[in-house]
Amino acid sequence: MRAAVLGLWLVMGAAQAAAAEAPAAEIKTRKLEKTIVMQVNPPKGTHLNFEGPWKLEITGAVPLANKTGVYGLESFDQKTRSFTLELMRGLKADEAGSYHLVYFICAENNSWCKRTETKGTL
Amino acid sequence: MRSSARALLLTAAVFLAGVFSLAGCYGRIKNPNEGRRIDVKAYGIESGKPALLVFGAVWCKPCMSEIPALNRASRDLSAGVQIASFLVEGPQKGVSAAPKDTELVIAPGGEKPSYRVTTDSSWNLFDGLQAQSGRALPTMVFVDRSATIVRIVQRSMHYESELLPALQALAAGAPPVVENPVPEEPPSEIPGQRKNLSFAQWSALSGNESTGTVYSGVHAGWQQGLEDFAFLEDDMPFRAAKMTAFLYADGRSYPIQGVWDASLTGCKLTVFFNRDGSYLRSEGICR
Repeated sequence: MRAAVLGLWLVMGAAQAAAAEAPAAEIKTRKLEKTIVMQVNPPKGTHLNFEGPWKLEITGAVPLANKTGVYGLESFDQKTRSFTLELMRGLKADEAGSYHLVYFICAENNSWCKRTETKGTL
Repeated sequence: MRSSARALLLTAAVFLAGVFSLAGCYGRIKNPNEGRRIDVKAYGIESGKPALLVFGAVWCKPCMSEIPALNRASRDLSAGVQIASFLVEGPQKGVSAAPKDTELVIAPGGEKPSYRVTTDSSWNLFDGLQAQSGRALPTMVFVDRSATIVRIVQRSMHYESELLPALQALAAGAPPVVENPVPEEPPSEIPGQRKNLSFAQWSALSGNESTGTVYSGVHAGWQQGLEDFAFLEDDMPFRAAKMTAFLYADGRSYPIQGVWDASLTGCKLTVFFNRDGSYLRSEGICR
């Protein structure tokens, strides 16, 4: 019985910890003929903050027109909430890369803002 | 028998305690760093005197909006509490570097801080606190006279009802009581459901008057063939509603997966289009 009670406490504790974690943005990528489009959808209850120093870094075998692979807010279309990454040519089947995005969000009621990072594959 | 009944009651009590704890949301979640002592020299504060450490950034509007309240606190409680503010990361768009000075720390009304502001450009001091909700700002750290963290709050605070009482408690040697100290997520579901609203009914419910701009946003996506793009923010009058749009063609609806999600009303809008992209009809559901 004690074990059951302890287990229940642990479950509750885990649930509380999970509830306190901040939400993450949804990143959608689309590979088109000579571009890759990355759309950033803010987490529930937040909006994107374009005042912070956003940074998108692409690494791997991707024939980017931007050789540095580093993009800032000037490359971000705020209306479509997306980066459009120009390619030198179409992607080959075995070419893939990774992204590391630093972005900023604020609560809808503007009670807080947050710097967030996310990583993924293209 | 009596023993098992007591055990059952105990289990129920523990379960209910957990449920009520969850229902009470974040106010009762203790930050693991509360109770930890800090190195006052690292934060540039005097030892033996309570302190409020405030972390903010120029790109964080709620942080800049706190300046007048912190000025008042600094003036009203100068004898009891010291205030030290730290500016994290720079305001430059697309650049990671921090500003060289704190001249950009100005409230929306033009008020400048009367308390000390220094930079923490690499988030080192901030990360040393391991705040519960990550790099959310403003972060306010209440430190008692023994240099022990007694509370960490990661959102703006109303001066009269929250910040001032908390600082008065700190000055008096008591732990400040602050509800919901970390960013609060909206409820995932709202009870009650309304289906098959007309566009006008849905619009009225959502507190907007315009419909044409919604159409143009969806139509733009249709023309570009980017069927998974969301509505355009500037075209969207429904800021307090959850929305999903669908393109309609050949008797089938194609979802536009960008979801406009404000969750305040829990509304979901489905817009149907003719094959030529003209508006056909819409349905709204509010949970």
